[in-house]
Amino acid sequence: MARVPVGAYVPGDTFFHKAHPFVKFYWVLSFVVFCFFNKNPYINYALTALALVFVFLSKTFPSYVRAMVIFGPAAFAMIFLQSVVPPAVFDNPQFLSDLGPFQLYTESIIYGMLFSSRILCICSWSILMLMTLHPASLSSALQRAKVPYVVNFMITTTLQLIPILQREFGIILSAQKSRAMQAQGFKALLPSIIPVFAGAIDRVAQLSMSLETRAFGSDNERTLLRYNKFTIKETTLSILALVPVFVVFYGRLRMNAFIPEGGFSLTPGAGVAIVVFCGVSFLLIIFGATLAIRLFGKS
Amino acid sequence: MNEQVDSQKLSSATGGGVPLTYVIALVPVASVLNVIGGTVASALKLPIFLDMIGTAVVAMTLGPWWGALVGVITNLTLGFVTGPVSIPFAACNVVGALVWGYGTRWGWANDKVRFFGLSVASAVFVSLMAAPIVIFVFGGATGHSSDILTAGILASGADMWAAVFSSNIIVSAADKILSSFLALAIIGALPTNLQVTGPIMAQEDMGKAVLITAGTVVGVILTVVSMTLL
Repeated sequence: MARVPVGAYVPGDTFFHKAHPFVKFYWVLSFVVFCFFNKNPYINYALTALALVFVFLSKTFPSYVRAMVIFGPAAFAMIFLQSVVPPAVFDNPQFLSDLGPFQLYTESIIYGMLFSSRILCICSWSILMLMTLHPASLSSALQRAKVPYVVNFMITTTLQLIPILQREFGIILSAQKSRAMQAQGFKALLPSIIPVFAGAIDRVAQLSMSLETRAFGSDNERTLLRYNKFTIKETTLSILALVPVFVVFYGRLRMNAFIPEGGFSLTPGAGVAIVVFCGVSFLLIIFGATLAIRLFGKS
Repeated sequence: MNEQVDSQKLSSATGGGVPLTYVIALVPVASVLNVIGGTVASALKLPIFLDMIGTAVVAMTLGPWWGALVGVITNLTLGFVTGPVSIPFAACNVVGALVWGYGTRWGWANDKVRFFGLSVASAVFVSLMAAPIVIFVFGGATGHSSDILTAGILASGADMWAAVFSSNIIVSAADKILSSFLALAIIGALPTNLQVTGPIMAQEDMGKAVLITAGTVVGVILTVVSMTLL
């Protein structure tokens, strides 16, 4: 059976679940800005660790791990690919060691770590937001934010249909497997994809008819089932979300974007270990994706 | 009242012949098809994306900007589901929609050879859009299996731009040609009054489509290898 989409809402009653969608969105946006302007990967890794603490507090750890399995290969591949590229953008790069056909430089490895830490940090915070954000709250928040009703309807419908069609695809794939048909590779593509698409087209006709019969486009004001009021507490928390933005811009202007005065340093052994570890991990995850999903993908 | 006016505008934007509710139902379903395409590709362990089939369907039937809306909604929704990594790639979806939509409007979808050209053009333009995103936002790697190709091309001495574009165009050529032919199959199942953009050829045998795709990919690989060696 197909899995429920990663990062989707995990029911709960913690502080994060109760927080206003806008407040969560502002904080994630603030961390996105921070990660892109900060040039010290270790700070981004520390923020990722902080996100992990909050993931534990919000009791969403299993879903978080399942979501991050997708980003693992990206994080490792970024470090590996940047490390094996000659550091054209740096003056006087510090040579570390040879690794097969590649020459490793400290700056290249740190550059790769910077990209990977950005993705890990941004994904961790945004997945935490998504796992504690009910889709109905999202829809209400979008409506309150004056997003056009038609666009809001399309986004909400898409979010609702994704798990339904994923489940249908899982059923079709299981049916194909039970009939001893191929379930991998290009030969399996058409027998598994055409029934899903046929079902989707049927759904368009049904949805269109439902919209016609329920007077879609009526100009009456909609009532919202779930909406958290934006009180003084929410306003304060939203203003506090500006702190990371101010800190990172101060760091860019006065603290060399948080880069240490002597620059970053790595020993040759550490550099080689990082690159080999990331290269091997990337390949293992890509080729052992099935195993990873079996290990971490069960809810 | 304003929404009724908006509704009339939407309906007239599709040529007036398509019911507005059908458009509003088709756009989210097409976005979901994009998402499901990605799920199918990963479940069947295919080294392609298949995440623009819905975009192609809507761009070729309703027009380029409706296709672009599908692209934006797809990546925005994926951002809500899996995190923000997919959001920058909305630009690729928009570019693909514009190529398919305007190509259909200019008569490139009513003949086999031209349709193949349209598919290749969409692959090239999408790769041109994707390469800067992959390099500037992700540092050259996105965790897709095509990163192995990138690493291989880098090992042969190419720079990051050439490596990322080459690996992307190889995957994209296969992806966009297959997506185009799958889109044709879906369009064949939709009501004919939806085809307001331009004439679209009849559905092609998928066996032939796979052969065409394989041939094109081999051609692109040979071109990339010869350019790398030279």
